[in-house]
Order: sequence, then C-alpha cells, then structure tokens
Amino acid sequence: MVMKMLLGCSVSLLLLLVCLTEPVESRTLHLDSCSVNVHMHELRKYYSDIRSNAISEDSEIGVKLLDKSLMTTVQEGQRCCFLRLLLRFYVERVFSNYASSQPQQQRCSSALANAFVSIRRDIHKCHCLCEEDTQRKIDSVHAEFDKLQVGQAAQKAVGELDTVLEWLEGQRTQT
Amino acid sequence: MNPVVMTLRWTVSKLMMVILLDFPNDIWMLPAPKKVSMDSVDMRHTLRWRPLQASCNTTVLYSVQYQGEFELLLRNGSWVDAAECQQIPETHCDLSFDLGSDSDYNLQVRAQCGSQLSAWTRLSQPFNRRDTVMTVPEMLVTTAGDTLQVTFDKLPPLAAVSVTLWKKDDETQAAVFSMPAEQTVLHIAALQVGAMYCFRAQIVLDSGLHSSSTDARCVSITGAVPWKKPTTVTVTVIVMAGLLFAVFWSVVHCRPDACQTYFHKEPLPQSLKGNWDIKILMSPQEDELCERIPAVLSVDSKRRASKTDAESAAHLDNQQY
Repeated sequence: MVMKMLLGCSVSLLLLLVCLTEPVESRTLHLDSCSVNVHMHELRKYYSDIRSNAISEDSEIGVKLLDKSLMTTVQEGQRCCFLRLLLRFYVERVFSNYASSQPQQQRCSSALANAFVSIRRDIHKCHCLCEEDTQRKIDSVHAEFDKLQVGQAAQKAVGELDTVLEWLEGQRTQT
Repeated sequence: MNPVVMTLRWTVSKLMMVILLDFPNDIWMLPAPKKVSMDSVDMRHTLRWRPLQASCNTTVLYSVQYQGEFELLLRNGSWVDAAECQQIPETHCDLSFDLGSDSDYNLQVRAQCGSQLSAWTRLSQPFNRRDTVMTVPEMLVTTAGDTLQVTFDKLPPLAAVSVTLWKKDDETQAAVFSMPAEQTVLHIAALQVGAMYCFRAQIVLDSGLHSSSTDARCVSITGAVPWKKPTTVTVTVIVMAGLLFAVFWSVVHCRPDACQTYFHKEPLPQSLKGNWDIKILMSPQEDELCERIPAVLSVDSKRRASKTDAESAAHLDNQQY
C-alpha cells in the first residue's frame, strides 16, 4: 500500500517535472509531412558575415526577387515543395554565381551553400508534391533573376537571404 | 645473345622504369605530405599530416583546401582555400569553422619549400562532421531549495545535452531532460525535499550520434536554501521594524511639555539681536577702498593710493597715453 502510494507520488512528480521544464528549441522543421534538420543558429552566424557586404554591393535597389508576401502566401501542404524549389534556386543559380574575393567570406558562402545542399538532400527524400501555383511563384523569382546581370542578381539574392531565414524560422515555431 | 648485353639491356630498362615512375616527383620536386588524417572531437575538426622529411633550406610551409558537395557537384569540382591554413609551418589545421555544414567534405594538403610545390595529398575518404567523436560532458552540480542545477562546461556547438534523472533505488521511473548546448545550465525544479536523486548526462547530436554517459551522480534534496539571502532579508526587516517602532514611540511619548525638556528655547546671543552698531564695524581700510576708484580715474589723487594701487594706476596711465 505504502509502496504504491510512493510510486504514484513519484510518477506524478516526474510528470510535473517534465511539464515544468522549458521547451527545448527544436532543430527540426516540420514542413507538411516532411521533417528536416536545420541548424538555424549556424546559418544565421555564417550569413551575418556576408550580409552587409552583399547588401552594400547590390546596386539594383529598385528590384526585389523575394517578396515577403510571396513567402507568406505559400499554401498549407505546399511548404515542403516551396522550400525544395527555393533551395534549388539558391544552390543552382545564386551560390553558383556568387563570387567573393575575401577568404573569410568565401568560407561563409561555402558553408551556407553546402548547408543548403544538405537540407535539399534531406527534403528530396520526402517526395513532396508540387502544385502549379507554387511552381508559378518560383518561376516569377527566376524571371526577376534573369532580368539582371547574373553576378548582380546573385549578389541581390544573397542579400535577400534574410527573408528566407525568417521564413524558415517561422516554420519551426508554427508547429 | 651475349649474356653481358642481356644484363645491360635489363639494367637500362630497369633504369627507364625508375625514371618513369619518378617522373611525377621530378615535376613537383617536393614529395607530397603523407599520413593525412582527420581528428574530430566534440565538433572541433583538425586535419593532421606528417612533417615533410625532404631537405629544405627554409621552413616547409603547408596549405590546405576543402571541397564540399556544393563545390564538387555545382562548381565543377573546384576547391576552397582554408582561410587560416595557407602557407603555415604547423602540421595541423583547425577546420571547425570551414566545414560548417552536414555535407561531405574532401580535404587536401600540399607542402611548399621556397618556390617548390609538392603535389596535393587528399584525405583518403570524405569527412562528415556527423562522425565527430563526442566526449563525456563535464558538469557541476548544485542544489538550492527543491531545485537541482546542473552546469556544463565546454559543450560542443550544435549538440544537445540529455540528462536522465531518477529517484534513488527507482531507476525504472526515470525522466529525461534535454537542453540545447547553447544554454549550458539546466534547472530542474520542484523536486521532493528529503529525497535522494541520481542522474547522468550525455551529449546528443542531431544525427543520433551521442557520447557515452557520465557516471551516475546522486544528490539529496535537503530543501535548505542558501543562507545569505534569507539572512540579509531577515536582518533588514528587523532593523526597519526597530526603527519604525522607535519613531512611533517618540511620537506617542513626546507630548509638548515633555518635549520642552529635550528641546528648550535658548535666548538669542547678543550678536544676533536687532540693535546693530554699524559704525564700529566699518574699518578704515574700507574708506581707503572707496577712494581707490577715483584714484584710477583721476591723475591728481593717484599718489595718495597704496603702493600696489600706484603701480596699477601707472600701468593704466601708460596705456592711456
């Protein structure tokens, strides 16, 4: 009897403990049915080293590739597809054409590009389906990109990574 | 055929072969670094290699390059110079900040003696930081009241700490707490006072890789809070209460007549009373001072002034004329 009571007490106590401890910041993004590991903190760190340079060297102030409204209107169920296409855009078109002369910045852009490649590899395993609307969104980004000279466009897209990282962070807190 | 000629031919062909085999070394002159290995502990990645045995008049310098999947697949297999490991005399290179993703990385190193360069030596297989070796975490344990506080020292980045806690003699009812490495301190509150708790910790990576656990450590939750803070609070409260009591007591007990004995009226001293005798206070020097002003302005009266006045007046005169 006493043993049972003790056991009950300790179980409830431990349950209470679990509830009381702070929620752990998750490194996993849940995109629809797909889960990917993203080291947000690390991406931010590497990006902060190239951000100011990319923005200051961007001379086409009037043009914007990634509009915030474009990101926020991604439909539920299409976030996995959107991220897959967006990562493809960044890996194949932006980082491939982004050149920086300073070794420190080369290191950061390489780390970001490789991180995107490995997220992309994770997301490929999910086989998420793309709808026409999502494809159209990314096509519009490509169209804006093509209007500029390739080096400048890459510079601009790196400067707009803020929007991408913010969106990614939003996916973590949403679920 | 003559056996001598045979031997000669054989020797010549052997010589040719040696020359051909040595050909790459002749181009580079310098032999490439050997025994290149990666040493990755707690997410600190260090590339190491054997120092070059070749004779070199100056110090042998080494340079390191890396190539992630991005460079390999999308940048036509180009290489990135490791920023902090270009022409270094050491035989190791910290690449913790360069290999900043979960991608596979190829690594290569070459030696340099003056203007002579060696060939690149590649790490035998690609490196991935998920294969880092995690060591057992070091921790410091303190208790305060019903709270257990575990502080971790030198946690690797990107890892999480997992702490398993149970009441002594009841390991089946264990609870697991997880904390990102950036946080370093874990608080576990609302523990049962008087009970003995045991726990062990380990470091866990996203990839599922983890260090081995620390030995189990047990602490009793005494419920005793550190004495300093409560003591200070109590002493302050007592002192304030005493002060307040004294003030109230004096207000109540100090009636006007009683106050007279403490605060009785002293008569004003003579010097502060109204009938002033101003003439006595006027000193003769003040008279002199009053006369000084015309002395500066008029030339006639200046001789009557004191020595310093005369000097200043003379100076003024000089300026005027």
